[in-house]
Formats: sequence, C-alpha cells, structure tokens
Amino acid sequence: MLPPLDGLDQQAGADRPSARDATIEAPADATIWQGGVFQQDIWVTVADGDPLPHASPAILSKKRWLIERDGLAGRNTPVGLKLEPGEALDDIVGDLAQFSVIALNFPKFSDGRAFSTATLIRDKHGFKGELRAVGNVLSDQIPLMRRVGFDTFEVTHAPTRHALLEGRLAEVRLHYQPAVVSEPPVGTRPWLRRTSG
Amino acid sequence: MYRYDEFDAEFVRQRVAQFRDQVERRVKGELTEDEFRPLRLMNGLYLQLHAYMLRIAVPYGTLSSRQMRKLAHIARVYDRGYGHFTTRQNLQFNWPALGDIPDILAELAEVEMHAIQTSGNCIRNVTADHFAGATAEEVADPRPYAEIIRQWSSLHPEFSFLPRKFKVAVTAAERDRAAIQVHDIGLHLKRLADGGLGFAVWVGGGQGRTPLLAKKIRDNLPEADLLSYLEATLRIYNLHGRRDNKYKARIKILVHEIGADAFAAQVEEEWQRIRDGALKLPEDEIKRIDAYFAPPAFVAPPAGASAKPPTGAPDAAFERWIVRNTHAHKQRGYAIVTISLKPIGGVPGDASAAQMDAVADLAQRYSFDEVRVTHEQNLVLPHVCLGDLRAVYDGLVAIGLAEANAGLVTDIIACPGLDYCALANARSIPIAQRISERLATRQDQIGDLKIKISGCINACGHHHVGHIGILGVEKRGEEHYQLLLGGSGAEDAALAAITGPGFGPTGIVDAVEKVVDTYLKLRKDPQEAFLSAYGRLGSAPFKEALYAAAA
Amino acid sequence: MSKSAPTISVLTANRLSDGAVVFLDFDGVWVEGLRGAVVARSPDEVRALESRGAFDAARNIVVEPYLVEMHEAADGGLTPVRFRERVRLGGPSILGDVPGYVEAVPAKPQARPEPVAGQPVHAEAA
Repeated sequence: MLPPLDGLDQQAGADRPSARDATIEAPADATIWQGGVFQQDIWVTVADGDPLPHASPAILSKKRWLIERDGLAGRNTPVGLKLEPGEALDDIVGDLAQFSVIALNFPKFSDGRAFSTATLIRDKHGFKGELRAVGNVLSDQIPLMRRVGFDTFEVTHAPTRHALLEGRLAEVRLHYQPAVVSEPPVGTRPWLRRTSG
Repeated sequence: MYRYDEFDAEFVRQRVAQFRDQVERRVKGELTEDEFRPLRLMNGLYLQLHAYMLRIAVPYGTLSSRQMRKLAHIARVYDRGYGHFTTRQNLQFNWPALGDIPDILAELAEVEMHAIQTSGNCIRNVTADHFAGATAEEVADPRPYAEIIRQWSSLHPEFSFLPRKFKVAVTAAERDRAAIQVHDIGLHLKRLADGGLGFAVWVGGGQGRTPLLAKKIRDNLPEADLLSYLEATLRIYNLHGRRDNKYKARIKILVHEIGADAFAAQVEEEWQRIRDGALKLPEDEIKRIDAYFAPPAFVAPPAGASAKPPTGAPDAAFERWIVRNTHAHKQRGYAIVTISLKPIGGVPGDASAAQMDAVADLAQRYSFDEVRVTHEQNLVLPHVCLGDLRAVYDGLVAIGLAEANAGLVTDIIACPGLDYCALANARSIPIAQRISERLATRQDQIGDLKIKISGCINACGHHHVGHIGILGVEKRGEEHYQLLLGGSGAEDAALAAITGPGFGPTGIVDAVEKVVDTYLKLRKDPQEAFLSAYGRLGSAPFKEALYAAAA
Repeated sequence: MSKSAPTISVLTANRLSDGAVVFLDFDGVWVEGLRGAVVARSPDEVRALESRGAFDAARNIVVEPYLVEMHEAADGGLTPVRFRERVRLGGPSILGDVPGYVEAVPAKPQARPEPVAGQPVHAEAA
C-alpha cells in the first residue's frame, strides 16, 4: 500500500508555500520595478505578427524593427527594442538612439549573455535611454544587472517581488571591479574598488 | 602572502550575510532548488551522492598556518574529521549540513578564507605554480597577478552566468607546474622585449569530454593590460560560447569551432576599445600587491657552508625522502619540501584534522608560516632551512605523511569518484589504492611516473594529462576502466591516447603493472623516465603487452 | 535492467537539511536505508511515487527525488539494480581508509554572534 496521496497538488512547485506573510503588495499587473516602486508597464511588447498599436509606446523585436524601420520615421509615440540573447547589435548600432527603451530578455536565469550585451549597449554604444531586464528576473541577479546598466526590471517571480517591496535584496555592496554604471571609488585602490552605497 | 584589509574583510562578511539569507529563503521555500542551485554553487556548495560538499577556495594554493588550523577545526566540528585537497588547489569537506554552511563561512571569513566561486558557471580559483616564490626557475612570483585576477573576478557582474565554468592558471617558469595548457586561460609570466614583465596568453585548453590543448593567442601582453585583456576575452566567451549543450559550452569549444586566429581577433578588437580604460593596472598597484608576496626573511648560510643538509647518523629513509621530496630553492641554504598525501594504499589527497594541525605547526615553525596545496593533491612547505629538514621529516613521520614518493608511481592523482561524486560512473579511489599497493616496493626503481585517475568523463582527475591515465566508465552496469598513455600537463603538454579495450576493476591494476613492466624492460637506462621512453617507443609495445593473447 | 523478474522501484532523494540519502517509506516519511521503503510495482504506483517526490521536494523536505530500480529477493530483500545506486546506498566504500574519519559529528559550539556587516574590523589576535 502506498501512502495516502489525497490533496496532492499535482502541479507541485507552482504555488510555493511561503512563511512570509507579505503585508505590502503591489497590483499583479504592476510588473515593472522602477524608481523603487512597481509600476504598470506603459509599453506594449508587440508580437511579430501583430499590427502596431497607433498610440501606445511599442516595443518591437529586432526582426520587426528592421522591417518597420523606415516606415516609423515619422512616428510620434515612443518606440522600443527587445533583444533576445545572442542577437547582434552591429546592424542596428546607428538606430539605438531612436529607442526610448531597450529590453533585454533573460529567457533562462542562467543565460548570462545579456549582461555583456547590456555592458556594450552602455559602454560601447553610449545608449542613454532606459535599459530594461525582462524574462526570468530573480532577486539575486538584480544587483548585478544594475551594475551592468539596467535601470528597470520586469518582475513576476513572487518572492522577488516581495523582496523588492520590502527592501531586502541581500546584496554585497562592495565591488572588486569597476562596472558600467558610475560608482564611487572606495578605500584603497580607487582604480579597482567601488561601492554601490 | 596577501592580507585582507578592511575592504576585503567587509566584502566577505557581506557575502556571508547574503548567503545566509539565500539559505534561509531556500529552507523556507522562497527559492526552489533550481533557483537556489546557481546561488549555492557560487558559494561552493554541491549536492553530492551522499551529502553536501563544500569546496573552500585556497587562492593560488597558498595557506597560512592559522588558515590551515581553521580548516582542521571545521573538519572536526562541522564535518567528519578530515578534508580532501583537490586538483585545483582547493579543499573539500564532504559532509556539511546545509544549515551549518553560513556558520562555516563565517568562521572561514575570520581567517580570510571563503568558498566564493569555487563552483558554478563563473570564474573559479586562479591556480598557480605551487613552487611560486620559492623556485629559482621563475622570472618573478606569478601569485601577485593571480591575486589581482582573483579580486577582479570576484562577483563580477557581467561574468556570473557564463556558459560554463572558467578556470585560470598562472606560471612564471619554463617548467610548467600549473598545467596552463589545459586551462581555459593559461598565463605565462615572462620578461618582454622592453625588459618589463608581461604574459603569454593561452586560451581554450581543457579536459573532459573533448580534451583540447590551449592555443597561444598573444605572446607579449604587458602586465598593465592583464585585466583589460581578460575582460575582453571573457566578454567574447560570454556572448558567443555555446549554451545549447553542456558538453560543448567551454571556451575551448568556441576557440576550436571558430579558430584561434578568429577568436584572437575578436578579443583584440574589444580589448583595443577598453585597454586604456578603468582596468589598466597602475604600476604602483602592481607593486603594492607584489609587496604582500615579498620573500620572507631568509637567513643565508655562512659562505662555505655545505649545501647538503646535515643528516646526522645515516638514515636511508630520510635520505631517500630528501632526494624525492625536496626541491632546490632560489635561496641558498633552503629547500622546498613536498608533503605527500599519498601514503601507500591510502586515499589520495585526504588529510585528517590532526594531520592538518601538525602541518600547520611545521609550517609555522619551519616554513615561515606558509603551506601550499598542489594540483596533484599534495602539500608543500615552500621555505625550509636545510638545517631544519630533519625536524620536518621527523614531524611528518609522526603523522604518517613522510612517504618519499613525490612524482613516483604511487603519487597518484585521483578524483573522489563514485565513492563521493554524483557525476561519477566508477570509483577511482580504490583503483589508486590497489595500484599503489601493487607497485610500492618498486617505486624507486620505476622512477618518475604520474598516474591520474578520473571516475567519469568530466576528468577532474586530469587523466588526459597523465603519463598513465585511467578513466572510469560504466559498462553493462558495472565499473569499467579505460587506459590511456603518454599524456602530460607540463610544458610538454600532450593528451594521453587510449590503448584499446578497457578493463575491469582488477584488470586495470594488472594492466598498469604490465605497462610498467614493459617500460622497465625496454627503457634505455634507469635515467630514461617513462614519458620519454613512451615517446621513443610509441604505443605499440605497450599495446602488445596488454592485449596480445596470454601465453 | 533485469531480463528475468520485473524490477520494482523505490523513491529516493537527498534530504534538504544535510544531503543524506533517504528513501520514502510506507508512512510517507523519508528514512535512511532501504528497510521499510515503499515499493512501486505498477506504472500507476510509479506515477504516484513520482508525484509524492515532487510534492515533498516542493515542500522543501528533499531535493532531486528519483526512482531507483530494485531487485527483490525471495525474502523480500531489496538490492539496487544499477551499480551506482548500490554505491550510493552503501556510502563511500573507502571510509575505513580515510585518515581521521569519525562517523558522528560532535556537538556544535554555542552559536557565535556573527560579526555584523559594517562593523569595523577588530585587530587580529597575534
């Protein structure tokens, strides 16, 4: 005889019990962590086959951008770009200044290519607009993402949302290397050591 | 050796606090195992076959006596009384409880140690020649650069989620004791044409499923450009290394697939962009780190004093130990001592807490408070006065670590294998034990012979670069062993070649003995070591001895 | 895989707290050692075991649960089919030769107050 299995959650793992009773909540549709709060996304990420919205700020894939680029020249509403890991920047370098936001996707949290892409977007191409991390964004990566130039984060992972709302990202604030963002040098070895405060 | 300042100490404290938080969240269920795994790996915590395993970083294999005593203490209090020294100069504990890990890390932090980045898809422990700072063979001590790389690579935000692990080794001698040609990046410190110090940079070496020797992509990198060049290399790898297949994700595959020249060109392009930026090494900073590695206050012996150590009454065992286990030191009157962690029939690389404490005492008393860990799973006392060799030897005899077999056939390198490791297909430790017992009485006669044993294709035992390499596999549900010959991890780097069909657990011991017998029969003279003889003879006579129908 | 008798399965995992090898027993408790391990003999029972494993992994009791095929002797004794699983069950085969090995972990010292991040470094003891 097998042990009783009544009441098993067949999708074990989907709803993880959490001992933390979060009294601070943000609306579920406020997914963008920006400026210390969760905000609703003003951007529409347009699927490749869908029509472009007239009046909403729209994020396009690189493929879509290359098709639509010339036609969008006169568009008033802001346009953004979403890149998958591994997509090259070379053929759109000249266009970057036109984007108000560039979103880099982390389809798996272990895929770290976008950390280098972000670094190049900021450091090599001098992009000054909003750089957003989307996809599988977890609390332990956010401090690293900030350092390579991300300003906003699309976060749906519940424990990460709680950690952000409660201001308890466990991070190490001392750094052994300069990063893309400007950080004050600390202590000895000003050429190498930084702090994020 | 490097000493932490306030910044370093605070960094490690924050890291411990961060990991303590991560463990708590894991235990509470706020992190799944999938989410926790890369985080715990970045703190050196594996889940093995029977228990967790904590891998503690020993930067470039250098330890003080205080640190060694702390490792002994942790073995006693949190583990099962022993530790294992690894093929990357680190230390492993095999039985820690998850809840104890933050406390263990806090204790390590007290002595300037940690387990940061000893695992995971990030830049791992930078290893170095275990005779660095003591041998006359080097142009300069390579360890300051290893320390600089260690710091720059710690929690590097861009390189924390690489396609795969990344291993760096540094050497400064022509004789390569750091195996730089089988590392992801190997650095050879040398004198440049302008008289300054710089590096030959080798990229794309590695063992495992697809063993490859590194390619030299730059011959003359000035020391000031070290970090910017590494950053460019890692950036190219992070962007373009394969992520579709775990066994094709190392940088060696990328270099192999696009070609060394094309790879070097991509690195060069990015490096030229950043070389004069924030990572350019100021000369006074290099000097500052150098100062931590200044030679200790050697006492030169009086002129005319004998270079030979006083031996007192004739003692064949002691004299044998001097021949085998000591190495010439750059300072007249001193020697480098190898402590073999390979007692005949013992478990390679293991040391009890009591042995660690005793080695710490010897180091403090006789080696200017310094011990090294070698990638061949032994320890080294780097600076022993000749007059103290007797006391050191006696101290080692007392703790059972005086086997005079450094570099001999019983000085076997073996990964933990299936006895410990969840990745393994076969056990490796018992094979090492049986071979050691079988050949111990002839080890001096046999001479220099490096046997390296891995329990699976991941090659943590470095079998591809063994003079004799053994790879454990699973065949029809049982342990089975392939035999390889002719590898080397030194400056004459070569990948060992498989001999033919494999052997069972008893058969492999017989096979190794047959190889040794063949060598003894065919060598020109006792001065022709196994590897040279194999190079001269080729594999044919060995294969014949192994596979010809039994008489 | 045995060609003669059909093999049966038990559910194994590593305990989250200490990584120890454990098996699911008849009462739904994770125990060290095979005695009392609950056995699956049919595909339905196998699926139920796997669900149980996933559930307990989600409840953070164990990690990485999986099924192990067993040979069953006439007296009901179980032996893992795969060599690897036999080694995993038995513990490292070489512990008798490990220098300094002690089976039981001695009592821990009192919990020490952890240095608070941000405090100045104390002068090192000599």
